[in-house]
Formats: sequence, structure tokens, C-alpha cells
Amino acid sequence: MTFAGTSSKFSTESLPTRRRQGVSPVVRRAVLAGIGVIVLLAGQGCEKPYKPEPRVTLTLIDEGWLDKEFQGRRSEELRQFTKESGIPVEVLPAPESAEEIVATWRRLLESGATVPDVYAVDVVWPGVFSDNLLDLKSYIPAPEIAAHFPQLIRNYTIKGRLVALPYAINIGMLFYRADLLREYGYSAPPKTWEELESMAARIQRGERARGKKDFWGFVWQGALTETLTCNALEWQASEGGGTIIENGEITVDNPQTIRAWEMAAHWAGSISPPGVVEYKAGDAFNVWQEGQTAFMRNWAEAYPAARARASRGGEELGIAPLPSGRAGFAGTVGGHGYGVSLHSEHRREAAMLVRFLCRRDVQLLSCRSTAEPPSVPEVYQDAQVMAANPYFSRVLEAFQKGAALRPSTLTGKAYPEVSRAYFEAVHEVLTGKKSAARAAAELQRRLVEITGLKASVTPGSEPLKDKH
Amino acid sequence: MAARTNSTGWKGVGRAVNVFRNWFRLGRARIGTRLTACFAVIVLSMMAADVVAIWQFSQTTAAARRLNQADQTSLAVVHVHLDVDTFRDSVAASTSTHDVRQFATEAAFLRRKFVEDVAHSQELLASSPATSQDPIIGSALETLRMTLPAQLDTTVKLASVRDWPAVSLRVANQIQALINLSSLLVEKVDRQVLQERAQTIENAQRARRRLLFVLPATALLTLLIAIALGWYATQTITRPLSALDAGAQALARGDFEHQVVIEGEDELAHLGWMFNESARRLAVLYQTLRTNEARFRLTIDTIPGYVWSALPDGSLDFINQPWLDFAGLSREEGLGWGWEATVHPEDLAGFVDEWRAAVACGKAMETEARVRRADGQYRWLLIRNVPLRDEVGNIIKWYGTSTDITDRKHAEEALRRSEAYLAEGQRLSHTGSWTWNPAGADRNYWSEEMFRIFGFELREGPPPLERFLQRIHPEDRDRATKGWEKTFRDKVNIVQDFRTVLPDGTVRDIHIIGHPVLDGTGELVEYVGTAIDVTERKRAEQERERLRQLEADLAHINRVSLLGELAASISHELKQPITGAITSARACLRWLNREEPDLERARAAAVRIDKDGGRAAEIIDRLRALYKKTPPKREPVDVNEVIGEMAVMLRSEAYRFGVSVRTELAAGLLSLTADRVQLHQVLMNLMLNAIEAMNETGGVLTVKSQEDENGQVLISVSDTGVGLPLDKADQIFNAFFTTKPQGSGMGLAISRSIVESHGGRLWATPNDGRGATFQFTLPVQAEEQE
Repeated sequence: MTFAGTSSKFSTESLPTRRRQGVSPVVRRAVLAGIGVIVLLAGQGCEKPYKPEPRVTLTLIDEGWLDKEFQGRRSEELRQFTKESGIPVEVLPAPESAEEIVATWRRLLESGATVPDVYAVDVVWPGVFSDNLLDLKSYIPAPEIAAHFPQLIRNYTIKGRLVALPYAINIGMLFYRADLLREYGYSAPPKTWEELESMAARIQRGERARGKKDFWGFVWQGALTETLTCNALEWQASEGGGTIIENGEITVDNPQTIRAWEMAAHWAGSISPPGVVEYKAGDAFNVWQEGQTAFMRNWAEAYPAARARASRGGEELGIAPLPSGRAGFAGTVGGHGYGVSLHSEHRREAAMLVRFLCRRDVQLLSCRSTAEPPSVPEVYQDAQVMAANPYFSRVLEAFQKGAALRPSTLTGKAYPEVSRAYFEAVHEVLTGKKSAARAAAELQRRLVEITGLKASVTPGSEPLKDKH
Repeated sequence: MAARTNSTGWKGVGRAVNVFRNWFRLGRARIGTRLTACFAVIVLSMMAADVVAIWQFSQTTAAARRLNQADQTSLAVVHVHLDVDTFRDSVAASTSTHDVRQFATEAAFLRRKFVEDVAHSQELLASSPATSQDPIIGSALETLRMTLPAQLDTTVKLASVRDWPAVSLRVANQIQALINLSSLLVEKVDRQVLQERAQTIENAQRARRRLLFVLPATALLTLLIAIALGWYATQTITRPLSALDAGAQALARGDFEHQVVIEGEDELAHLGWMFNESARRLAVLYQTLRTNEARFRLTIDTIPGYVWSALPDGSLDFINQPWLDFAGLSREEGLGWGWEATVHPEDLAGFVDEWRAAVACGKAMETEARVRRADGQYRWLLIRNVPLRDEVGNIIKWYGTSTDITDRKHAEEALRRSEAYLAEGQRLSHTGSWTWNPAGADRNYWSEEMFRIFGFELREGPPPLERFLQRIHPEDRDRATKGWEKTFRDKVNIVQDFRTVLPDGTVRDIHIIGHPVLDGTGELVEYVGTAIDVTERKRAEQERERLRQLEADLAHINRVSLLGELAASISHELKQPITGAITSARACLRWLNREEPDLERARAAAVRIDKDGGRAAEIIDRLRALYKKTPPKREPVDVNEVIGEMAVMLRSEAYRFGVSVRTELAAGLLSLTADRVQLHQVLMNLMLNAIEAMNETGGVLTVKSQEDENGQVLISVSDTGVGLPLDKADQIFNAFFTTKPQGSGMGLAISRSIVESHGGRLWATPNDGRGATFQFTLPVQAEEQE
């Protein structure tokens, strides 16, 4: 068949021809390349101008932001850290009072904010923030943790997680004008509340007679803030009324507490300005800074700032444990440490910063000049430190003999509520809206309600010092 | 471009290329899908171009919007700062006026305004890109938001307790810090806004530049894609179409082997496949057709018949091989009118005329003609031609066959002859053959002779039953009818005799024999039989009967005459026992008549009387039997006893002529079945002949019975007389031949007739010495001799 020949010829020829008739690879490639070009060109529209990978910048938020002295020391430390690690740190501004701070911290932490990385954590806050703070145990060597006061470490350990590392200890202290005391014939700061009252009254009278119309004997913090809790706790505890919750029982509604509160209420308008009931820490300190008071209840950490002022005005600053009540003296323990946010994008670096700030040698170096009391006991044994900060011995004395702890660990997240109930009750007593007895009774009920604990039948009357 | 695209970018492009390459293999998809896909790609690319243009345009507007937003943020933050400033101023003023109420009012207003401003600022900040933000800004704003109201509250509270110094101190310290913070905020925001503005302006410019390039490029590329896809779509359709076209042309040329190359799976591929399939089927069909044609031709050439076809004008256009082989022609010689040469000259003209007539009128023809075979022998062929017509009736072709019927013709001849012989035979023997079919008279068969026998006309065919019955003799009619009915019912053989009355009144005797023919199931199909005209035979039988009667009469006469001859001897023979009986009776009387009757002796005399009387009665009985003219009667007969009786009867006669009678009887002979009287007659004839032969000389008559070598009984009668006349040994058995002066000449003839009627033989032989021996045999089982 001749046809067979032609047909086979057709088939062999038609195959490559047929292949050629499709889109040739060249055309295909050109089309694809064109599409690619358009996609890339268009993509440029949304592309940001090239930025080098930003270095890690840590952010720190601290309660002492408004304190210039504190800021100075802190920036020195941070400069040191940046030098060591190459990581810059920015300090973010923070509100003034503890309530505002707690509110702000909470808002940030619970909203999962990636900034700031490091938070200052007051001794009463670990229970509040623990869910959003990093467990530092895996970032910080055990010996460095163990170097701190063990009670502080315990305080910061929530459910086995070390949520913050302590930086400084703090305790309520009595600041006094040593020059005025001497002038009025007192050789020593008052040992009891009665002594304080009489000394304050006398000096107040004397100074006012000299023309200082706005001079007051004693200033403290009576505004509706956490600090009022601290003040009132000191009064209550020193009188033997207990530390609000003791041995798992509410210890508020007892004669000692009532007496203590009544005593303080009596101060406002006598040895203390009537406005003291609205004084925050800053206001009391303002009065002190103006040299318008003989005594001030304040935190030990205020010492460097207070001293700076005193040295400027030729006045002499004295510091002593708070006066004793019938059960001895009591100073509310404060202090703060630093924790790392779980939402931080630079946990490792942030932990490095915390570790740095709380390190023994860093604390030692800071404390070679005037500083707040460190959290590492070993620092207190350094002669240079003690020379630069002679008040450390008094702080240590107070810390060891009359430390009164707020029930924050016990109440955890409920602590702010407990505290608010407490200072509101006290404030009502101070402003004369309620009798101390009634306020105490009501508070006791309220606290039972909040905590679910039972009320103490026998109010704690043991001296505080026996507890240590 | 390449320089700016990093390695992951290239990988992405590679993947995209692969995806598109697979996509372009849509060539395997259906055309509709493919076209739709191409169209979709074009539309998509145009849309993409539009999107790109819109996108780029939005970039520039977004930049402007961002700029505006940054300015607004800046403004809001300045407002916040102003609030803080106002707060400070308000507090400061209140410390001098100590107007608590006014301060409280201002504070409340300030607080509200501040909260609004902060919220506004925060909102604006939140909506601006977070990455470019200084963390301090948000934090500071938040701090302000938290702190200022608290400061306000604290200050208002301090004022409310009229602690103006504390208020003043707060203005100097804490509120100043707030001022500082808000200043810092403003500063930071300003810096950020500046930065952002610079960047935004730069971005906007870049976007504008890019737009100038991207838009034409996109348009061009879209156009290119459209062209490429259009070209591609056209190509993928026209190529397979041209292949199909080529295939169709090949098919038109008759190349069924042509196959279109198929690629893809679209409609055209399907069409191509269908085309290939059709071509393949056509090829198969064509092959089948050719095979069938070949097979058909082979069939035509193989069948043992002569086949041809012719055009409408009568000329042959096809002749099959067997015909060519038969005629010894090549196909060319035979086609047209070439076949005429093979037709027998005597038949040719007639056949051709007939063929032309058939062609002319279009009618099928059938005829016989002699055609020359290849070996020169003429054979008779049966030739048939039929026309093939189209739908309107025109003749298209003629088809013809022929069959060699020479042998059949011979066979028919033989048959015809054989039938003629048979008919002649039947005529001679007056035997007709018939069949009777229960289904009806028309199926019956009568041979020619049947019609002759029953006097029917041959041309009318076998008569119906009624007419046939009329021909039967009225006396026999009922019997015959009943006989048939029974026979047919029982399906058994039929043997029947009846008389028929012919129209001229002659009566004839008919003998019918028939047997049924049954099918497989035992049903009667028909009867086959014969009818014989036995009138002649019957007449002959009657004649023979008459002769036999005559013969019997003759034999009787013979017997009577013999007895007459023997009368003296017989009376003597009779007299003897009678005399004895009389003597004994006298003696008996004597013994009885004595004074003392001797009863013993009287009884002995009475026994002798009884014995003699019995003997006399026997003789008389035998005589009476011989005298009596009785029909022959066969019965078991003891030959020796018969011989003994005859010896006793003829003893006196023999004595008379000095002839002694001896019997030599073989014991243990089988009894015969014979007519005792006839047997007496034969023996009497032979013995009397023997006595007569010795009547002058005296001699010995010996009667023997024995069994011959054939197991038959052989009885011989020998004499010592004159012997047989030598020259007349054969004539002595003829009737009326006698050598005796007073002989009738019938004796031996009758004897021979009797013996032969018993199945035996009678002959005479001369003795060695004197006299002759007559002997005859009788078969042990005598046969009926009709």
C-alpha cells in the first residue's frame, strides 16, 4: 500500500510539528517573566524603605520615675548595663502612686503589651502580676538568687515560679530634723508615739512662734493610697493590733487597732496638717523638702533624696525606726524587684537586665555612694557602703527587729482589694466620718468577705520583734 | 531586577513558572475550557494591571493621608500638653486666689477635656503604624492619662482641705514633672511626625515615579499576554483541524489505513479519535467486504452446480468455474455467446430461440438440453434462467444455473422400464398392489392391475370406498367390511378373500393380503398390500378336488376289488375263529350239560369262544373299514401292527397258493401318522401282487420293516416269484398297466399315489435271486400332501 507509507510519514512529521504549535518555551518564559516583573514592581509599593535589623532595645518601667535622684542612679546603672551588654535600655514614664502604677502595669501586662520588657514589681504585687511574669529561675543562676534576703525571694516566688528578683528593700522609717531636735533639747529621736507627739507639738509650737506659720510637727501619708495602708499597719502593729491577717485570721477589729487609729486621727490638725489626710508620699516629702516639718514618716528609700535636700539647706537629717507602741515598733516592709513580662519579645535580654540590676557587685557599686537599701545582705557588710550610707544600719535594724509585712502573699490577686478596703476604712477614721471602732468592725466583716478567712477572736498582741 | 531579587525570590518565581507551565498544559483540556481559560487569563491580567494601577495610586493617597494623620497626632499631643500646662496654671492661680470652688470647677472641666484629648491622641497613635513608634510615646501618654486625673484629684482634695502650701509644693514638684513628661511627649511626637513626613514625602515621590513606569509596562504586558494566548489558542485549534483535513483527504482517496495523530484530550482530539476509529472500521468493513466477495466467488466456484449471470441482452458476463471445467472452456471463450458452441447441434436452435424469447419477454425459463462435456460426451442439462429486476421492474441481470440430469434421465428410464415389467408381472399374475391411507382415498395408491381386477377406470384414480364396496359381492360385503374395520382398528395384517362382481356381471374371487405401516409412535400411516384375482386358481383347486375324489373312489374300488379277490381267503379266515368259537361253544355246552357240569372246562371253553369271537369281529371290522368309503383320516399308527394285521388277513390267501408269509419286523420303530386303511391298502396291494407272482410256483413272502439311513421307516415286501419284467420296470406303476391277466392295472398306481400323499416314496427293485422287492418309505412325521 502506498497509503501506509504516506501515513507513516505524516505521523512522524506531525509529532514535532504538533509540539511546535503549543506555546513555545521562549514565549512562555517571556510571559512568566513579565508577570514576575509586574508583581515585583507592584510589590515595591508596599515595601518599606530598607531598614537594618533594629538592635534590641529594652524598655523598663519603674515606679520611681518621678524621683530625680532615683532616676540619676538608675540611668547610671543602665549605662553600665549597655556598656556591658551592648543593649540600650529606655526607661518609660510611670505614674506616681501605687494604685495608678498597679492599674497601669496590670493594663499593660494583661493586654499582652510587648513593651515594656521589664517591670518594677513591688513586694506586694507579685501575686497580682504573677500570671504575666516570666519565671526567672531558668535565666538566673541559683547562687545569685540565693544571695538575696531569703524572705524576699520567698515573697517573689509564686507557685514555685520566681516572678521577680529583688532589687531593694524598703521599710517605713522616721525621718527627723536632727538639728531641730538638738535645738529643742532632744538628744535622741522619739522612742514612742507619745514621745513623738510631745516632741512634735513642742517643736511645732516653737517654730511657728519663730514665724514659720506653715510649720508642722509630723507629716505622713494619709491620702487614699496604698501608703496609708502601710502607715496604718505600722500604727496597728506597733500597738499590738496584728498585721491585718495573722495566722490565717483577720486581725482588725480589736482594741489595739482601734486605739492606734484613734491616735493617728488625733494627729491630723494637731501635730500634722489637716490636709495630711490627702497627702500622698510626694506631698509629705514636699513639706519635708520645704523644711516645714520636724518629723516625717517615709520609706527608707527616700533617704537619698531627703538627704540631698537637707545637705542643701544646711539642715540635718536624722533617720530612725518608727516609734514604738505598746507592742514595740513596726515598720512596713516594702521594696521592689524586677520581673520580665511574659509578652516581651526579648525575654532573654530582659532577664539579663534584671540579673544585672540585682547582681551583688552592681548593688555594691551603686551603694558605694548614697543609695537605697539593697536586697543582697552581703552588701551591708561592705565598709565603704556603710560609710556612704550610714542610715543602712538603722534600716537594717528596723528590718530585722520590726518588719511588718502586708498580707500580700497570703491574699495574692485579692491584695489590692484588701488593701483598698483597709485604707478606705482608716481614711474614714482619719477624716472623722466614722468612729474607729465602727470602721474596724465593718472592715473586719468586709475582709472576711473578701478573703474568706475567719476573724481573729483574740487579737494578736505579741511584740513584733519576737516573730523574727 | 535580578540583582534586587534574592534567592528565595527566585525560588518563588521558579515555583510560579512551574505552576504556569502546568497551567499551559491546558492544551490537554477541552477547547471550551481552554478558550475560557485564555480569556480568563487575559481578563485577570487586565484586572491585575488595574489593581496594580489602583494600588499605586492608593499608595500616593495613603502617603498624603498618613501625613495628615501625623499632623493630627502632633496636634492632639500638643493639646494634651496644653491641658497639662493649663492645669499647672490653674493650680498656680488657685493658690493665690484660694478660690476652691472655682478651682474645682476648672479642674472638672480640665479633667474632661484632658481625658478627651488623651483618648483622641491615643486613638490617632494607635492608628498610625506601630513599628515606627517610639515606645516612650505610648507609655508617656498612658502615664499622663493615669497621672493627671490623679494629680487633679489630689490637688483638688488638698485644696479642699485648704492646704494651699501643699498645693503649691505639688505645683512645683509633681505637676512640674507632669509638664516635663508632656513636653517630652510633644517633643518625641514632633520628632516622629517630622521623620514620618520626610519619609512619606519620599515614598510618595517614589510611588509617583513608579507609577509612570508601571502603568505602561502593565498595559504592554497585558497586551503581550493577550497576543500570546490568542496565538496559542488559534494554533492549538487549527493544527489538529489541518491534521483532520489531511485525514479526510486520505480517506477520500481510499486510504483507510490513515490515522490522525492525536494529542491532548479536547474535542478535536476526540474528533480525531472518532475519525481514526471510523477509518479503522471502514478498513475492517472493506476487508470484510473483500473477504466476503472472495468467499462468495469461492462458493460460486465451488458449489457443484453450473452458475452464470447474463446481461439484459442475454450475453453472459459471468460463468463459474465448475461450468468452465465441465465445458472445458476458458472464461473468455464462454462469455458473451461463446457457450453456443457446446450445445448439441440438435438442441442449439431450440434452446437459443427459447433463451432469446425469455430475454425478450423477461420471463424465467427452464429447459433441458444436451451440452458437450470437456471429454466430448453430451450430457443432459436442466437449465434455468431467472431475471433480477430493479425496483421499477427493469431487468438488471439474468442469473442462471444448470444441473447435469443425464444420470437422472437414465434412472428415470430404468424406473419406467421396471415399472412396466412390474405392471406386466402384475397383469400376468392378476396381482394388484395398493395402499390404503386412513387420511383419505385420494392418498391411496392402486397399481394398474388393481383397476383391471376391480373393473375401474385407470384415469379416474383409486375409487372412493362406496364405489369400491359396490363391487364386492353382496354376500361377502358385510363380512369384508367388518373384517377391514377390525383389522384397521387392531393394526394387524390383513388376509381376506371375497368375491367381486364386475359391471358385466362376472364374479371373481379376490385374495387380499396387507400389512400396516406404522410410524415411530405406533400410529397407523397406511396399509400396503396386494389383491390377487384367484378365480383361476380356485377353479383349478376345484378340479383337483374332483380328481382326488375320483382317485379316492378308484382306491375304494381297488380295495373292494381286492377284497373281492380275497373273499375266499377272508371267509376262510373268518370261518376259522367262528368254527373255533362254535367248537368251543359245543364243548362248553358239553361241559355244562354234564351231570356234574365241569365249570372249569366250560369257562375255559367260554374264554376261547370270546377270544375267537373277538378275532372274528376284528377281521370283520377291518374288512368293513376296507369296504367303507371313508375320507382319509390320519392317526398314529404302529407300522408293525399294521403289517401284522395284513399278514394275518392274507395268510389264508397265501396258503392257497403255497406261499408262506414271513414277517421281519424291526422293534422300536417310531409310530407314524398315517391313514391306517390306506396303509392296509398299500400293503395289501403289494402283498397280493407278491402272492400272485408266486401263485404257480409257491414261495416265500417276506414283509420287513426297518429304519433307513434317513430316519424314515422303510417297509419292503419281497417275493420269490417271477420277478419284474425288466424293460417295464418303470411302467408297472402307471395306471392300467398290468402284467396279470385279470389285473385292473390300478393297484400299484394307487399305492404309489397313497405313499406319495404320505410324503414317502414307493419303488420296485428286482431281487438278486428270484422275485422282486417292492419297498416304500414313510417319513416319521408324515406331511400333509395336498
